[in-house]
Amino acid sequence: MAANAQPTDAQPKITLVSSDNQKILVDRDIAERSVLLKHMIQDFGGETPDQDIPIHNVNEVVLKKVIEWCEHHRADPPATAEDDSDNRKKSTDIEEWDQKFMQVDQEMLFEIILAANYLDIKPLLDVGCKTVANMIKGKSPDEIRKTFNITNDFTPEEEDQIRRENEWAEDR
Amino acid sequence: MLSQYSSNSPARVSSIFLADLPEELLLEILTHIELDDVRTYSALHRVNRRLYRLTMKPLYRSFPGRKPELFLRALALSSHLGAPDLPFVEHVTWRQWARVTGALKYCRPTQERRLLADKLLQLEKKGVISRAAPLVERFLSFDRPDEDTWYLELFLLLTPHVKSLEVFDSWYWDDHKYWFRTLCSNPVRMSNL
Repeated sequence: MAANAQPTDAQPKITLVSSDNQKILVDRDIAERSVLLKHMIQDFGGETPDQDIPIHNVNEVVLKKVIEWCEHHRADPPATAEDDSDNRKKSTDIEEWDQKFMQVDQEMLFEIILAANYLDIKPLLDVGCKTVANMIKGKSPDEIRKTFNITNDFTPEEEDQIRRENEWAEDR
Repeated sequence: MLSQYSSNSPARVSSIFLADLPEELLLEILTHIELDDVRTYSALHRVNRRLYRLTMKPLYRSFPGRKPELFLRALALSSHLGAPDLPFVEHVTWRQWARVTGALKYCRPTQERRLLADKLLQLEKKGVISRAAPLVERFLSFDRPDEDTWYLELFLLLTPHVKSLEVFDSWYWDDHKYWFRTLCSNPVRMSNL
């Protein structure tokens, strides 16, 4: 993993500091999978910053997981604006490595989504959101509540009314 | 695809839940559910208040062509939880064959039809639509499925944002010359089509 790698090659390194104050050393091109970090580095005039970069909203465990994803995808071509609006919505396919990567408990899954959103790593955000979408698809309201620990906050009357409202969408 | 997640194993107790995600991220997740997946949107719609609200738009964006009576009833009823007045229905599929064979089965009780009729008459009073009264009369009194060629007209009056309409079995209308009379008097509202 990048976090533990010795700086033996020519890649410039950047030190990130997680919300729980842990320093993580990453290759610059890996860090730049994050648009937020990329912009921050640009603010240093394009020089690789030698000071630590604090990541206030992400703890060490999650940050390392995110870096693991960035490392695997370090050579991916940057997403274009068109990919952004169209392609990703049409397909719910997730490549095999990403599927395995996302086999984590729900807390980690949502932490990854939040971190990807904060760090502005769109492809990772998409993989996370697709994973959740796939967990939702085809389930009944009750199964969705159970899967995601959601409380039913409708009154029985409202619930009945909404069920009736929705009869047009039922299969039979 | 990710079949390991579709098992019914109980969710691990964790400190972050789906419900804790900010609304923008919930909406982001919804973009990965196909718009024609009515079943999933309808299930999400019934989970809790927040998801009811967030799925209103995608759920009502397209009408898949079955049971228009129940769909219209939903349009008439749906304002009770702070939902928008008329959901933004953009795509309508119409299956006249299903109308002719199944309409009577779904012929709604007078009380329910009254709700919808009132809504239409309100819209007419506000000047949003015109010449709705004759249609409303027919709607309130109809009890024979073979006489409802005007039903699509009524349907479209309540779905003013429609951008595409796909009609199947339109030959059922061949003998009825006047079935778009009301629509024709509401050209502005149908300008999307």
